[in-house]
Amino acid sequence: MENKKRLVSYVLLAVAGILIVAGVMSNEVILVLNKSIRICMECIGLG
Amino acid sequence: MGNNRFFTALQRKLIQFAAFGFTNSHIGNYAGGKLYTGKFKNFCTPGLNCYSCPAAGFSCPIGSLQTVLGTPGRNISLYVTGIILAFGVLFGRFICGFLCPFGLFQELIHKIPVPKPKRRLPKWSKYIKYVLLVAFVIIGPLLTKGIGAGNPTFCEYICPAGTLEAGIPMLLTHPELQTVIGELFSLKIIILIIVVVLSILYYRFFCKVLCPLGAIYGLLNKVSILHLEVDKASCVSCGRCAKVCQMDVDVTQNPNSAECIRCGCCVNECPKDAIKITFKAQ
Repeated sequence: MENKKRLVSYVLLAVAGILIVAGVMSNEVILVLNKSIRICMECIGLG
Repeated sequence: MGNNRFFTALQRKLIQFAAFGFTNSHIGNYAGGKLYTGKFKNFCTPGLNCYSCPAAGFSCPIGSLQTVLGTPGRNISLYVTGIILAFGVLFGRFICGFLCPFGLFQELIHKIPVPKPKRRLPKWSKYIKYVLLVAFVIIGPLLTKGIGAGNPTFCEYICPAGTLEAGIPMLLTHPELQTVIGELFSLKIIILIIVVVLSILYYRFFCKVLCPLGAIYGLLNKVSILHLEVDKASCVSCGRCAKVCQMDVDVTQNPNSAECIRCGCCVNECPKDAIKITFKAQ
């Protein structure tokens, strides 16, 4: 059981790393940046 | 109390304030109602912190997740999911307990000396945050996506952090925005007031009941590398850990409960050093 949990943790961490790299390569970071540097009208309740 | 110690209450508070300051380091932007537009906004902060807050130096993970999901041509967010997953697997809800600015805000207002209810929140209420996660953070942006971008529905209709950190400061510094205040803003102000009042009465009401980021980190508490262990052989079932826990967790029954924010109160309270927080794979 302990070994299984440990394995799940490491697998999920590896998956997270792969997702981040894949996201960066698909220009997702630009979407995040473009949204966050402008006033988000929805966030402030005016959208 | 035994010798086994996590961070003391004072140390935790100092870390919370440091995290708050690090996440919101552009205080000067409040004066003109400007936003920080530098490259650090490529990154998501681990806690809930509105990126439209003038002082924010990073992006909000929940806002960013909705932004990508609401972008035409994208039905999954690889980058933001990866970041949230990495933070969650490493630290679980330790992030809520130590690094989240809105968590700190709730802890501070809970100190307002008014009579607190003796009865705990109903058990079913903790499941509301999972419903909000699925309905407003994931499905909402996907469904509202048409020709244009989908709406970040959690930010739009619920998030009190956005109203407090961004909505109110922006309206105070941008008179032109005050002319377009409508029912949506009134709804968000009502939600903020309800959350503030309930957070004064109940410890971290928003974290317990409404936070979708807490819901994700809570699920990952089960497998997070930073986790809590109870030595059953040393435990004398005195119940002091359950009594001191303000998140209503009995660590002897469920040491890695989805509700545990790793504040360490139970570790410090245990007279037999039976509870410890460690950083290694479970």
